[in-house]
Amino acid sequence: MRTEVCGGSAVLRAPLGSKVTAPVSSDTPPPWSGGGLIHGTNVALPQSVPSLTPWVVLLAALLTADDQPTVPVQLEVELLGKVLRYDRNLGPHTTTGVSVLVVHVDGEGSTAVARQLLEALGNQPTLGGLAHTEKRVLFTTPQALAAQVKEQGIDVVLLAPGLSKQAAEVARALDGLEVLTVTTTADGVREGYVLGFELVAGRPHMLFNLSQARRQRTDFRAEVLQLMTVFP
Amino acid sequence: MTRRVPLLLLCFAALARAADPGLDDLQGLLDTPVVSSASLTHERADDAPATVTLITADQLKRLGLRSLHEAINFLSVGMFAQDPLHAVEVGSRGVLLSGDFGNHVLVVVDGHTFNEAWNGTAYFEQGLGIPLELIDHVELIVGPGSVLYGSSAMLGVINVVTKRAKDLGRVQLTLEGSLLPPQGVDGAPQLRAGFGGTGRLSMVTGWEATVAGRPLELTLGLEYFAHRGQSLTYPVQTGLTETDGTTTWPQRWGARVPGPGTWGGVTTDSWWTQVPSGVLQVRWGDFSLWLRGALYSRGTPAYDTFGAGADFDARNLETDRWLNAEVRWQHRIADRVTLLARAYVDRYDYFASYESSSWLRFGSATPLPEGLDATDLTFRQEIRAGARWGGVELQSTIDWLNDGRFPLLAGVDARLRGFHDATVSDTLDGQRLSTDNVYQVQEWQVAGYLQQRARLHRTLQLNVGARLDTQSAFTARLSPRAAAVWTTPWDARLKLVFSTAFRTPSGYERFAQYEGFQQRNPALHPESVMTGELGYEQRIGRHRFAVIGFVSRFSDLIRLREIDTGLYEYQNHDQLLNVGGQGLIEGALGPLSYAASLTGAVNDQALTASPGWFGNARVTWNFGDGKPRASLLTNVSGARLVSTAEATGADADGNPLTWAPGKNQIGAQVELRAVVEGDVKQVPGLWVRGVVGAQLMPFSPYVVGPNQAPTPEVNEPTLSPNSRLFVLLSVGWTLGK
Repeated sequence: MRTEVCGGSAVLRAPLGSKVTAPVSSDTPPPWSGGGLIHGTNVALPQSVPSLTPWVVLLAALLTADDQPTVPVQLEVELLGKVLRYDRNLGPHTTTGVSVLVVHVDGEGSTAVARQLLEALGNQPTLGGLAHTEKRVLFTTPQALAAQVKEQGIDVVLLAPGLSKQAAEVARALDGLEVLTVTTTADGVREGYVLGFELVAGRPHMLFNLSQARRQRTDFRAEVLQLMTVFP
Repeated sequence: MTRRVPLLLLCFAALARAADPGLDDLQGLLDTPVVSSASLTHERADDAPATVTLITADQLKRLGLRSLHEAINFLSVGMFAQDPLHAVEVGSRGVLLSGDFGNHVLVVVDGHTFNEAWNGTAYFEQGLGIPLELIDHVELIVGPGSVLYGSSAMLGVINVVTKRAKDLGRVQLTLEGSLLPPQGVDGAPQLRAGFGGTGRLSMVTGWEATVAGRPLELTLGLEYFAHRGQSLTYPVQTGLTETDGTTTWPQRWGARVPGPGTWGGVTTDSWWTQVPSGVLQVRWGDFSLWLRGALYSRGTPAYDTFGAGADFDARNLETDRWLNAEVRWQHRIADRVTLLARAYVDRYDYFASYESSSWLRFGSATPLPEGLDATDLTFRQEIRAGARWGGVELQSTIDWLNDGRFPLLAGVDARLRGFHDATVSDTLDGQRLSTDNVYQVQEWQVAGYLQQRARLHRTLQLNVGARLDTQSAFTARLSPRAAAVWTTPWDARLKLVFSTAFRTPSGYERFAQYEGFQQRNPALHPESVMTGELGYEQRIGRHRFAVIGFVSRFSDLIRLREIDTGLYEYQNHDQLLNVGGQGLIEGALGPLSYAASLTGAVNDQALTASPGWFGNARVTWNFGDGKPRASLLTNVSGARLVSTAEATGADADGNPLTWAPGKNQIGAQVELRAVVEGDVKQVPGLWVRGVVGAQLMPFSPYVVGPNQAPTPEVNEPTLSPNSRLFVLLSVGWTLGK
């Protein structure tokens, strides 16, 4: 059951005494600095044409890929509800129902999807056959997210769009915690989110990061993994 | 019998093996079709404001389907296609408007409209001109769809979506060929010289990278399709004469007929097709570039309005040529607002060339030059037509409450179009005889559209929209649509839809004129249709069924009518009331998947070539991961009136022509197909497929040859043969996926 929706989102704060890191996006090199990757190889933009740089900067600003979910959000939540039934670790350590944290960023349509996730969760009587509670928070840092997961015993973190670039850092922060990270798109699964969704030929499809799942002590049964694309 | 019992038990045991209800539920959800054509947003097909069938690339491969028209016949719910050995015709819900060259169905590929701007032509056979392996999925919307798509979306909208680079691997190569036996005068396959066949080679590739911090992807598909038809045998029509008013002489139908005054016999090399095509798409972040080129060349033995005018079995040809380009930019300009801007330019050229030995029969009222004798002249006629069009579309979505419950879609599309046509007749040595039907037209069109979706409650969704089309040549037209979907407490969907569409008269219908045969009608105005439908859909585990009832009212349908003896004109004439229902059941039991659909409709006036009922069914047995899949398919359709090339099979009052009793219609058509497809374990990425297909009925409902109408001497039509039997073998290889 949904317990908190009122008054917009709560801002995730880092635990007292811990170092608050800057937003991940500001730590990453600027996109026009030549950090492109082609089949595993960094590809730098030509250095001999500096006059192009402002144009490239402008163009790159106009080319922000929008990773909105292609699978309808309600359908994703229904799929999540079914697939959690096959998580061997969810039932035993969950005594008060499944606790879900919906995480989003400001902008990029992230808030709208987070609200849809909350609404869809509210429409879903159970997740994996268990009662559930959920709350929505604004993402600040991976460490703050990990702290919240640990303190509040979160079982599932649902990541709205706009967080795919932080996947690797979030995964590192959540190492060792018993939590399932689920992203509404395919972006970020290969990099560290455990479960994601995409459309394949007009039908929903699930992606699964097996090694990260093990690190986060998520243990899906083999017959379910057969229905997914599994990254080792 | 006793031997069959253990076999049946074994089958049921295998089916029951996957009887985990939770897993079935999950797989059922994963089978849920998600479509985007009906409201330009991703939504469950059962939530969409229309009846939509999803056809996937896997189905095309697994079921051995080689073209859009085969996919429509074997997989669609509510659409059907029919092959006159010329341009395949598509109808929906019991309405097929014969001779329309597809201009009542809008074909869209990756959001780019394919119907050309001269005659609205769209092709559904290989002439579609898209590499088959590049297709990711196809969405078939049955019923009117002008609310977002404008003109031509009267019977439905077909949206082809191509694959992304991540789905393609580095390279996919496909090679396939088929064999078709020659056919006798009764349409039966024969063992004699004259086998036909098809060949297809395709290469598709995808490439991904990150450039300047933005994902870059490139997809490229190239295909070459070639077909050489099997030898066909037409019954010989005799006693064919023509007259100039003073003299009567035998018509001549070329060198390959038995003699003067006859038409028909055995075809040799006049049935052929060649289609090279290519599609390139580049995406970089929010920007994309889409390019397509295709050439569709073909000849048919019953060429030119079903063989009514051109020499029998001569080397006639038609060529359609396309160049299409589009640039698109889609960006979130604010948290609640997205913007899509696209610019497109298209070029289409049509060329037809055929020989005729009958100047008076087909030529024109133009007197022949001095020294030429109408009774002994073979000439070449060419149609040179085409269209150019281009425009800009801006489209925005606004999420009013920033929670996805009340999104508004608004857009404006402005385009310029021009089209031209000319018919020239020359002697075989190049002497110009006449130039007819010359016109060149330029027009503008501006359309604006709005669509408001609303999730009023978790069980109730509304979709209301309208599009206003203004054009330089016609008064503005409004195309509204409204839909409500209620999710019942037992998780079924009840859907109520009201939709409308229109089609502006094509350039050919408005401007074509042939002295003494066809005249222009400046008063021609758009056709329209409005449809109400009520549907119920229920999913239980991996099984789904749906029933839909519909009623449509077509107004001002355009038809070529005889206004004086031998003189024709396109007119807005027909009204049509169309009522019917359709049903679908599909699902899976362990390794067995199945589906069947049936559509029945009645019209308040007879339509030629339109069956009153049609449907399809299929089963696939999956022998396991990495093992073959075997499928059986069928499509069936009911009796229908035969269609003639001239006057669309009706007299001046719209009544069907009366051939001999029982001869003005053909019976049910039944097509069967068996397919085995699977990977070759020894070679990673290699797959093979074998297909055997048969059409049980010998003829289609298209009258061919000079005798298009009943006469005192001839009261039985000569019908176009169906292609009866084929064997197809395909080999594909995927590298680096």
